[in-house]
Formats: sequence, structure tokens, C-alpha cells
Amino acid sequence: MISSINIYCQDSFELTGYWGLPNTVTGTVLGFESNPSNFSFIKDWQFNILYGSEFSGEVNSTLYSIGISKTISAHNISVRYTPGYQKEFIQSTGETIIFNDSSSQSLSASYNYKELFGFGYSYKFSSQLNTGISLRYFNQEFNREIGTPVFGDTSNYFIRENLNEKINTWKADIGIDFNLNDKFKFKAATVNLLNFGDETQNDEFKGFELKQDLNAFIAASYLPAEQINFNLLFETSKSFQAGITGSAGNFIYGLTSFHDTYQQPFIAGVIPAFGYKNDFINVLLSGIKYFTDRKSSQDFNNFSSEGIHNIINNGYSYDKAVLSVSFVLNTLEVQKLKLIDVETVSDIYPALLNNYLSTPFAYGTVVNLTNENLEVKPSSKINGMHNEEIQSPSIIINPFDTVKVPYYTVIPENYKGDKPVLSYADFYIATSNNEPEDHIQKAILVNGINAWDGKVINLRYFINRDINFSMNYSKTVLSSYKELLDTIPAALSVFYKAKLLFNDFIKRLVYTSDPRATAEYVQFPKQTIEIKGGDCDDLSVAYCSLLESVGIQTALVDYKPDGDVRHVNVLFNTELDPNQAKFITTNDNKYFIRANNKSKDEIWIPVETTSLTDFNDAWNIGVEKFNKDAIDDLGIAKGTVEIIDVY
Amino acid sequence: MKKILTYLLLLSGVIYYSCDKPAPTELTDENNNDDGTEYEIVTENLNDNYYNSGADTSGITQDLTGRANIISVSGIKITNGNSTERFSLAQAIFFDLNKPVRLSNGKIIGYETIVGGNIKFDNHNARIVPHKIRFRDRGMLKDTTLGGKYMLFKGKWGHDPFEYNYNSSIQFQYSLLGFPLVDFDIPTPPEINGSLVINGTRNERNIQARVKWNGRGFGKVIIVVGVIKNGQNFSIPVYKIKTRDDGELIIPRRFFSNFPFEEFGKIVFTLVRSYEDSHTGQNSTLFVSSQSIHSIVIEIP
Repeated sequence: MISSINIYCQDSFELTGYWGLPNTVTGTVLGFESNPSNFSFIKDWQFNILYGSEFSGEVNSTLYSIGISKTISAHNISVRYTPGYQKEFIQSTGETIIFNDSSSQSLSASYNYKELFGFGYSYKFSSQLNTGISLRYFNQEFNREIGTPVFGDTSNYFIRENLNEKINTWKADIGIDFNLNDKFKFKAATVNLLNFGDETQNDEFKGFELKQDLNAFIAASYLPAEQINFNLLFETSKSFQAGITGSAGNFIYGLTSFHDTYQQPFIAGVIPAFGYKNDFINVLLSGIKYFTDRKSSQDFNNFSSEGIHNIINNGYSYDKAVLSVSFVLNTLEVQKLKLIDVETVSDIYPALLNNYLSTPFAYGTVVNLTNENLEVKPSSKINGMHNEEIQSPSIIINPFDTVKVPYYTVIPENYKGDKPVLSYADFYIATSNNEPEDHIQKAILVNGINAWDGKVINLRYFINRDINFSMNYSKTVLSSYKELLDTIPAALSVFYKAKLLFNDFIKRLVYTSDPRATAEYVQFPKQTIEIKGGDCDDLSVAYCSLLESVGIQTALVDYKPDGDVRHVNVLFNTELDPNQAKFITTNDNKYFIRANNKSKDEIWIPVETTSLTDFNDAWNIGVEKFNKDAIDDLGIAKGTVEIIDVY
Repeated sequence: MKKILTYLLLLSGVIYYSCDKPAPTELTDENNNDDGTEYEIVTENLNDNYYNSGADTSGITQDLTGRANIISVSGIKITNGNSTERFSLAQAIFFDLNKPVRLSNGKIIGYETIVGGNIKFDNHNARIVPHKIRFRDRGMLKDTTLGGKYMLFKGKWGHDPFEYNYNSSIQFQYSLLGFPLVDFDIPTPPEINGSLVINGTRNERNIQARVKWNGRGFGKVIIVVGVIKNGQNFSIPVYKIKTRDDGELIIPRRFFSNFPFEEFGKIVFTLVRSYEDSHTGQNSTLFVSSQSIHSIVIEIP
């Protein structure tokens, strides 16, 4: 029969003591007594077993509970079976029946209280807020031997019968946990909120049911350091528990003292505990020492008038030693790293290729959630560009530190997208086992293949892009001047090659301004030659590419904007020694002495690639602009003119 | 994962089956170290009773089996409705254990008695009267006299000068020519005063009796529950309940739920607070009994 009934069952007492909300112990996940909200740090599965001995003059070993819990996303469910959560009282009722043959039989009674099953569910709203419900099943069984008279036609006599009643009840409680910060944590829960089940039918047993009023408890934990936490729990029944817990490395400890309204003395007992934990197992040895002598024989009158309020902790409970073992059966790794945010510092310019191998395009903010140094492996994948993650260099993060982690990437050489696309990038962090620990997705602009970020230094990527084409083009041109080149002094070979290439190159070109309005658009050398034109960027890139393809060292001269448009032209190395300058000019203002890539001073000459008449004009214009902007106006000193070696 | 879980559950099962139950706590009544309450059905067959002493239950509550010499003094009250009558009774019976009286089937139902000498209670000479018993043998109701006994009786039908003084003592003297005088005092217990609350009815078979009396807090009282047939004036004892002299006893409902009330009109609750002892003479032992008795007679509801 199911009916509403005012039977109350348990309070917040636990066999392993009160641990509050520190993350030093995982075993309390299945302790519905002080954790009705089922707060859990477990990320996946946990299996928990409580085994112990009770000292009543003799030692009885008992399996107190077996439990299992599973976390799925923000949900946690748990089930426990508690065969050892039981208390039996046996009583000689003081009644004797005398049979007709003068033999007698003393009668006895027993009162057995059990908590058999428990179920829990919780939902984690955030790392600060958790709430849940627990549902627990109780069984109470009362037996009493009675003498029943039988009146027959020829004989009257007593028979011994057994009066029995089983009462099955459920109780439900709710709880909430709030972590204010790393140092202060709070919880609150009901005790015996809802009770429903069978009602006692037999008058002989009324009044012997488990007793306890509807209550609630509040608890607070103060965690000034990992080594020591202070926990206090207060019930509205005026019972309380106070204790310290903490950990040192993999070792954990706890000491809880408790005051129970229904027990004497004021501090009824203590629960010391000591254990070991790692990522996979948590072993805790605890004990309950009561401060009164718990005899195996006690007064029935007290029991009859006061009853018991808790199955595992009452005035008749014995001292105990309890071994708690929790197995963390994670199929998912416990999160060690958290990727808080990612900041993209650059749009993607596919032409820049290897630029992103040395320059991060994004920075992730990563926190180490553990107390050990961790190697972090960042990786990223840009949608539409990559089929797999691109690894960035690993870095080490100190315990609980937060660092900026750079993300680098690689542009596939076969990337052909010619229009800008607003795509997205996935950013990952992983530990040494390469399993992603966290992930964030961010939008990112992927420009077209000809887009240029405006940094002259990055024109080198355009120069190098069609180097094979340039090489073929240059060799074809130069081979047509083979006879000329064979007759000139070897020292002038580079100069003449550059001159011949330029003159051939410009014969078919016209200068055009940048056709793109927003992002600068730079043509690859092949494009420039094929479409027969370009702006200063395009022409400088193409000419540099032709020279570099035949081994002539080049540099780009970046004339930075000063209220006017920006300009780029070319400087190349004639490989002439400074005292050989006279072989190409008698005007000392038409060349410059620069160290080559082997730190040897050689003669370099500027060429204005937008001057499409001939090499000499381009040289003169180039010299004129260079002398004015770079030297006379102190452009190099001021930084408004910059010479950037292509290689 | 499933394998690990399976192993863990198997391990738990092994531990479970190798475990003990938590130790029980034994509950005892620390206020009363003596035995509690004894229940006995004293009349095996309600049709075979052979006691005919009416409301005088003094002979009923005493187990005379094997006792040769019995000295019994009783202060008796019978409450019937609103009226209470008082009686004082003193008896001395000496059985000859060599002369049993048997039923046809050989079962001993008593012994012949011996009369000789003079007996005084508080210096009042006891009269010698027949000691009669009634029994059923082969379906026939029979009365027989086992011999004589010494008796003083004061009350509704008797006018002997003997008075039972409660919480005091009664002097006993036995003199037989040629033998030394046997002389001793018999203590008397405090007077017992009972009351009764009956709930339920016979038709609903839910009669429950709450018996109260002026408990002493120590010692025992005997409560005899008897019934009186319609048209008769003697009770047939059914239950003999020996319990602590603590002032209250609830007789459970089940004691009456199956009782064949149909033939009976009244129910009698007799409370007996007694003093029992044995007094050793030169050649024999006297069983001495002193009882305060209160019988309450009510109509069966």
C-alpha cells in the first residue's frame, strides 16, 4: 500500500566523515547523506565500495555500500546499494507462554532497519553552481513472537506465532552547491524532504518506525590551501559536524567531529580518515569513535520511547573502521587544460605561405588546471583550407598558470581561392597524449590568393611563388643573348643579365595601378607577364623573381607613404667590387655599396620597375628617387625608406 | 570498460557474501531484571472444569500438585457491578499422597485428605468441613468428597470470627496429641485493589482488557481471567497470567478474539497478590500461602 506517511529516516552523517566540497576526495560522490546534490568532480564513470568492521565486543565485517556514478556532459547520475546500512535490535519481550505440558517458551521480538538502495541525479549549471536530487529506499521489518490461544472442542492451548510487518519507504532530498571562488564553497540541502511508502498497520509496532523531523542543513568550506580545508555543516535539528580535510601530494586526510542532538555527550564522536588518491583510485581508511561506551545490550525503555533517527549513526551504533575505495573509470580524460579564449591577430593571406610558420595568426589563452607542469600542444584547422589539424610548437605551462599560446599555420601550396572568404578556424589544445583537451571555434577572413597584407617584406612570397616560371623565362631571354654575354667580362655578367632581362621584360608591359579597392592585390610574376602589366608591386615582384631565378641577389626598396601613395622598386646586386664601379658608370651617385649575403661589399643599383622605357632610364629614375628619399631626405635613417632583402 | 565494471561487481559480490551482518543490539528492560509476564491456559477444556468454588479463586491460583500439606489464608474482594463483597478465608488441607483419586482412565485428579488434631488461625479454631471436587468422567459430571479439611470463612455465607488482616500477619497453630505444637505467623500482603477497562465487543471479536491495580513496583501478581456461564454462579478460569506487580497489564486482543463467548455471560478478572512459603516441621513440610484477592465480575460486552 502506498500512502503518505510521516516517517523520517536519516541525516547528514557519513561513515567517512564530512569532506565539504574540496576536490581532494572523489569518494563522497556517492554519499547522499551530506551530498544530496550529488556534486561530483568525476568526468565519466566512478565505482565506489565501502567495506568495514564494527566493534561490538566482537568484530563484524560488513560491506556497507557499492555504488556507481556516471557523468554525461553536465548531468551526473548515480546508484548505490547499501547492504551494510542496517541496524537490528533484538529483544526478549519478557513474555512467556506456558504450554499444557507445563513446558514454557520465552518470546522475543526484533526490529530491523535497512537502507537498501539510493539513486541520485545532478545537473551542473556552471563550475560554480550545481544542484541535484537523491532518492533513497528504506525497509523496516518488525517481528514479535506472540502466544495465541486456541480454543478447541476438546482442548485449549497456546501456540507460538510470529507477528511480522514490513514497511517500505522512500525519501527524497534536494541539494544545491555554490562555489563562490577557490577558497569559499557552500552547500545547502534538505533532510527528509519527501517521505512516502507503507504505513505501519500493526499496533504492536507503531512508534518503532525510524524517526526524524523534516530538516535542512547548510555547510561551508574554507580552503585557504590545498593542505588544509575547514568544513562546517549545521543541521536545523541542531546537530552539526566540523572538520578539517586536506591533501599533501597524493595523500589525503580528514578529521570530523560531530554533535548529534540525539546522542551523548555533546561531541558524540570523531571520524579520522587517511587515504591515498591518484587519477584512477582513491583509497580512504576511516574510523568512527564514539565517546560513550557502546554496549551490545541496552535499555529497551529508551529505545521504545526515543527510537532511532539514523540507521548508521545512533545511540546504539558501534565504533567502526571503514575502508572506502573509489575507482575512477574514465573513458574520458579529466580535463587538465582549458582554452579560455582565442584572439586572431591576422587575417589569412594565402600567398604568404610560410609566413605563418614563423608568425602566429592567433593566440590562445590557456590555463593549466592541474598541479603539475604540462606540455601543451596547440593545433588549428581552417575550414576550407585544411583537412587536418596543423600543429603548432609545444610549450610548457606551470601548474595553474595561464599563458598565451601562439597558433601557427601552413598554407597549402595548391590553395587556389581567388576571392576572400569569411571562414572559421578550429583551435585545439592537447596534452602529451594528443587527445584534445579543449576546443574553440573562431571566425576568420581568408583572403584571395593574390591578396597582400601591405607589408613589403611579404612580397618575397609573391616573388618566390612562380620561381620556376621565372627561371624558364629568364633562361629563354638570356640564351637569346648568349653571344653578347659570352663576349663581355665575367665581372659584368650579372649587370648585363639584369639589364637584358629588364629590357626584354618591359617591352611587353604597361603600368597599371592596383585594381583592388580594399586589400592590396599583388600579381604573381607569371600573371604580370601574361596580362602584360601591373603596378609597382607587381612589376617589382616580377623583375625580382626574374633576377632571383638566375641567381641575382635582389632587394625591395620600400618607400613608405608620407601623405602620398606607397611605392616599391628594386635594388639588385651587380656583384661588382666597389673598385669595379667604373665598368658600369663613372657617376658615383648611380650605385650603392652594400654588403651581400656573405658580408662582402658589392655594388648595388636601384631600378624603377615602373619606368617602362629601358633599363638605363629605369636605373636613372631609380637612382634619383633613392638618392632623394633614402639619402638626401635621410629616409633610411628615419625609417621611411627600407631596403628589404628578398632572401 | 564493461569488463572492468564486471570484475568490480563480481569482486563486490564475493565481498558481500563473505561479510557478516552488522552486530545487533540486544534490548533489555533495565527497570525489571526479573522475568516478565507468563501466560498460561489453565482450563484445557471449558466443559471439563471441576472447580466449584464460585468466586473464591484461592484454590485455582495455587498449583497444589505434589503438595501434601497446605495452609492457605486469603483476603477476598468480589466486585460485581457497583457492589463489592469482602470475604476472609483460612484453610488447611493435608493430603495422603499414598491414596490418589483417579479418573476411569487412570489420571490422578486428587488425593484423599487426612484430618487429625486442632488448627487455629489467630486463635480461632478452624472447623472441619468436607473437601469436595467436581469433575467430568466418561462424559458424566461427578461430585466427590476427598475427605475433610480445616476452614474458617467469613463473608456472605460464613460467619466465622476469622478476619484477614492485610499487610500484617496471621498466627497459625497446629496441635496434635503426642506431637509438639506447630506455631508460626503467616505474613499477609498489602490489599490489592483492581480496576478494569474493556474495549471492543464480543461480536466484533475485538475485546481488549486493560487491567489496573495498586502496583507495588516489585514482586508479582497473578491475574486469572475466567468466564461464567449463563445461569451459573461460578467462574471457569481460562487464563492465568503472572506479571510484574507494576500496576497495569494490557491483555492483548488476540486473547479474546477466538474465545467462544457464546456460552458465557460474564467475565471475571481476578487479581492475586500472594505470599508463599514453606514451613518445615519435624516430619513434614507445610506449604503456606497468603493471598490478597480482588475479583472483578463484568458482563461480557
